[in-house]
Amino acid sequence: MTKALILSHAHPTFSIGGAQVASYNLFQGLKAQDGWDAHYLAGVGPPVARHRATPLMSLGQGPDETLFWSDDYDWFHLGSNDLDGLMRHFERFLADLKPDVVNFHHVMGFGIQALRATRRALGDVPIIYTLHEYLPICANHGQMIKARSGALCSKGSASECGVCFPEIGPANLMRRELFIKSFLAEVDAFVSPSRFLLGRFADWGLPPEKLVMIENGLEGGQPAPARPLRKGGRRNRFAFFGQLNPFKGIGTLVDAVNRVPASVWDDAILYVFGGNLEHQPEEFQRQVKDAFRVAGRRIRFMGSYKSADLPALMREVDWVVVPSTWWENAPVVIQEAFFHGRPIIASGIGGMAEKVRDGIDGLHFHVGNAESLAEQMTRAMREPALWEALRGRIRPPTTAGDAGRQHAALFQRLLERRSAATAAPKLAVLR
Amino acid sequence: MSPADGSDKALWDATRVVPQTQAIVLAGGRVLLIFQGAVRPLPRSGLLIRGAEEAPWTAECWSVAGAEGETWCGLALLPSLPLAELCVWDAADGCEWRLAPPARIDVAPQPLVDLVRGAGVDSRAVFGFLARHLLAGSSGRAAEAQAHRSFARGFLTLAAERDGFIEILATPDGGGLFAQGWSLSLGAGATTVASVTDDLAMREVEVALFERPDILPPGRGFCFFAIGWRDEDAGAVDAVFFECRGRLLRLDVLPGAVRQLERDATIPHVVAMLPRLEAPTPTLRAFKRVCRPRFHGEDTLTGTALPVAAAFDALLQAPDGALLATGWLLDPLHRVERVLVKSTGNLYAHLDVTWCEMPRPDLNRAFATDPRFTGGLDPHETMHGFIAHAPARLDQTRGAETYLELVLDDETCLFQPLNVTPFTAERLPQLLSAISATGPELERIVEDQLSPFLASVRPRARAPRRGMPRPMPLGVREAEPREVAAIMPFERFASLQPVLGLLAGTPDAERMDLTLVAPRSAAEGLERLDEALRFYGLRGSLIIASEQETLAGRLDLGVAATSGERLLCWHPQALPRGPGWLATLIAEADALPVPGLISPALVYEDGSICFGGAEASTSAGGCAHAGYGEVWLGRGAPRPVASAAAAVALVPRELLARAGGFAGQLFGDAYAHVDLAERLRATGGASHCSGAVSFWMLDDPAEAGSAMNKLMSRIDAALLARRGRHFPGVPA
Repeated sequence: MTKALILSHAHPTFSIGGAQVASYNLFQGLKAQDGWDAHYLAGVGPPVARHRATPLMSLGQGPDETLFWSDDYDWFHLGSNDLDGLMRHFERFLADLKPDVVNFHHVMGFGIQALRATRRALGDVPIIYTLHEYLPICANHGQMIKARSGALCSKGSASECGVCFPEIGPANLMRRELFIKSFLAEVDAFVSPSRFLLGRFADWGLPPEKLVMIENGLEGGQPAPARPLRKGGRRNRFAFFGQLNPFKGIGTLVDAVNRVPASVWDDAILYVFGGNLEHQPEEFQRQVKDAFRVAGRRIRFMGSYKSADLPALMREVDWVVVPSTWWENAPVVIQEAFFHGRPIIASGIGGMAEKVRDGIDGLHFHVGNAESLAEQMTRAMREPALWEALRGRIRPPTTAGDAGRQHAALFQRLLERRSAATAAPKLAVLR
Repeated sequence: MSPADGSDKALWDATRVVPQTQAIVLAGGRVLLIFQGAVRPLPRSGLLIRGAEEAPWTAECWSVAGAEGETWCGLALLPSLPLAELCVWDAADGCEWRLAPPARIDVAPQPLVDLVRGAGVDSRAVFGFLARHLLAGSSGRAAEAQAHRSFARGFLTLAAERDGFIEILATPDGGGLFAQGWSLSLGAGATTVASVTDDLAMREVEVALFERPDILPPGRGFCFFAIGWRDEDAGAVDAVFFECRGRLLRLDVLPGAVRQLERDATIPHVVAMLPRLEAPTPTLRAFKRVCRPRFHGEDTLTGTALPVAAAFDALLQAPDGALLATGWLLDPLHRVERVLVKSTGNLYAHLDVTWCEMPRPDLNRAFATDPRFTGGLDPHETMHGFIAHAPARLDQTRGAETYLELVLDDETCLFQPLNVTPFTAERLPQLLSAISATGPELERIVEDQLSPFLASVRPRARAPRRGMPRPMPLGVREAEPREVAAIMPFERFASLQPVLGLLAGTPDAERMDLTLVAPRSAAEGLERLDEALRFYGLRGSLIIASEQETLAGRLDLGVAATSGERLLCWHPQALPRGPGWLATLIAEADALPVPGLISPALVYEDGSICFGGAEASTSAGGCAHAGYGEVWLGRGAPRPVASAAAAVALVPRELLARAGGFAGQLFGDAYAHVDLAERLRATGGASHCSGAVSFWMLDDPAEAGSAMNKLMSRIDAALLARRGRHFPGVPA
């Protein structure tokens, strides 16, 4: 039995998010593979209380799930300030668990030094790092968006990042890059569900031969049927799923809704499933609330949701809108929408443009451009055959099982390569 | 020259024969030759030929009108007494002179006097010859020189005509000689006289004239003052000689008839004479200076009712005696003509001719209600402060009273006693804190005042071995020291993280002990260092240095606490670009033709060159290609450079010890590497830039240093410039 350790910065039970969901699905998918066992280690922090003796805890999760409490994380360097905790507890856990392969999904909380701690504890076990966004490249929340103008950024470098963060300075940004890369050098393979994102990391200097594209696996439950239409009814129910933060493009979406002429809009509705607005900058909160106020009955704010609620929520939805103003990677919401057979209207950039094929299974609009989005929404409502045509060309997303198989195959290759590498010196000696 | 057999007799010219000569044998054997009766002037220079011997010929000629027409006479200085006919080769004309052997040989100056009186030669010209060729050239033994002066004095005494008498002699408090009498010819103004006491001396004097009803015209009364007359007895003066229209004249002191003024009576006498004196203004001012009041240990400045106020913030003295004065002067009506620092030990420092003014707007507010300055202070005029360097000797202030003397426009003075404070490097921050690091006057302050003053000040003494901070072991523990002692001063724990991350697991880390040196202010978070080095598998130690310790000083602490045979000075701004660099650098160092420092090339985060190594003789910048793309970086063998990079350099321990360590003769850190390179060179070492290893150089301009550090750097640059050497990166 080959054992994989899947690490995530958070457990989806306590913190919903794409990486948490994807890593947990992989954990489940791997366990379902013959000859494979898996363990899930997730980060946790305040307000969860730490036990006095150890940061390792279970929090009532499954027997093959462990949580690692941390509260001393250096957001800028992606580093931990608690190396002693890593050595005493994280390494101890690894040494006892003895996984054959370790797959990181984010290092937040653990610190990027956890990669070296893994080497220290486990020697040359294959280390895989799954990239979910651009945090190692970009100090602006890993969004690759210019910090001052909000414009899209296409290349990270100390000089260019120094323009975004003059108070930090290019030298410190270079220091950050070198620091992070010194640990990424321990990684045997980088996995991402997006070719676009891999391209960015290749540009940044990660070895192309280490970059592997594997789609996230999705456990979507029962697909939601199409929303029944009354006679003469239109496919005019739109939905936004996700965090209400400036990068998700909620402002652009509400603006677009307000731009659609009343004669077109008629009884259309935009459902907003999302939360955490209260955690956003006040200026952003005010802008969103004002836009919602103007939109009036066109928008229904539905609050946050859980994955398990999705099939029911999707029943009321025709179109899913993904208006993110950053590049995205492989948004789970796209997989979820496709799983339920909902065409997507998405920003035509980055991971969204890669996953949603314009005119095939969805529509693209110019990122951040409310007028462009309004045009596509109008088109969606005015062209009765469009929805069916797009829906018919949707490809089912990768399942957790599929993802598990592909990851297992990758892990197996890395293990074989390691075996070959360790065998080589012995052969040399024999000669 | 003629052959001995006279075969080229055709070249002979009868007009080049001098029939009459006399010789005066001088002390030391040289001879003054008087020649007369030549029909044309002899050459001023030429070659004196006596048999097989040749010697330079030096002479001067004067024409003499006689009954038989114009003839020429003159003087020549010969190396020895000629006993036969002399030949002089005139190279300019290509012909030869023949001089008859001396008809008379003497040892006294009387023949010169006869020449003046008999032939009518200008006595001034004769004395001028003696002054130029005999007195000025008396560089030999003292006794011989004195004998020559005595000879000249004898000539003066015999040749000069009496022109008047000196009736009063005095030596004022401030030194110099005051004389008064009458003369027929002495003119007013500055002139030179020769005084005769036991010896002959030339004096610059200021002469003023006054009416003497008791003396018939053209006779007039005179006073003169010789400032340079010091430490000599006025009573020993026999006569004073001066020249007037080509004649040497003499003012005699009649023994028993001259009046010697008591020292206390001199100034009242001069004051009484001042209204009667006639002379050019500078001369009259000189007499007024004689009358200035003298310092008697009292502070007359503080209580003055005049619109003048001044104070010294400090009067500092460097080990070589140089003074640095800082203070202020409030003088809205420009009454002060001179600001002097003087001492009873003969110190005379004229500050206001060289000082640098500095803004002191606070004084306008502080004295706004002072009745002395009411309405007189211009709020726009704030340059009341000053800083002034003055050369001085220690003996001029040691055991002496030092004081400030303000000379006012009416030649009165204000005094204030001053305390001289010995200056050591520990006082430098305090001194610099009073100086704006941004004012336009900064450059002049640094170059003209601070750097000459600080030239002899030694930087703070290095920490003695006894009582040195003990290194605390960090990370992996091993007994044997490794080959390379890497010493890394740092300020923040965060700056170390990339270093540790990049070192971990590399062969470079295997060869070094990493000694970290931090000030105590950086101690926060240092408890994590041990766990960090353990985590990264590194071996090292931590030294806590004092807050005031310079970077170079911290490096020296690290040197003292380690024993690796190679030292790697390494600042955390420099980060390796890949593993394996240390072995390459060591290999390059071992192959250097001249042992010394070797630094990796340094590249900024944008790929431009920070330090690529400049040949010693090129470039005005720190590096020939600084700022250029990396493609300009030379590759191959190490290149000799003026100085290695400050951020990272490898050096043999033994060589560094010979050069005196990292900390040298500068005050700040900016040019410590330049100073080290200079000391290394002096001990046979050299500096190189690696051709195979490059580092990232991640310095942050925002962390370029405090204003104090910048000022310190400017001072160091000026000190280096004073050494007369130009280094790349150091302003000339």
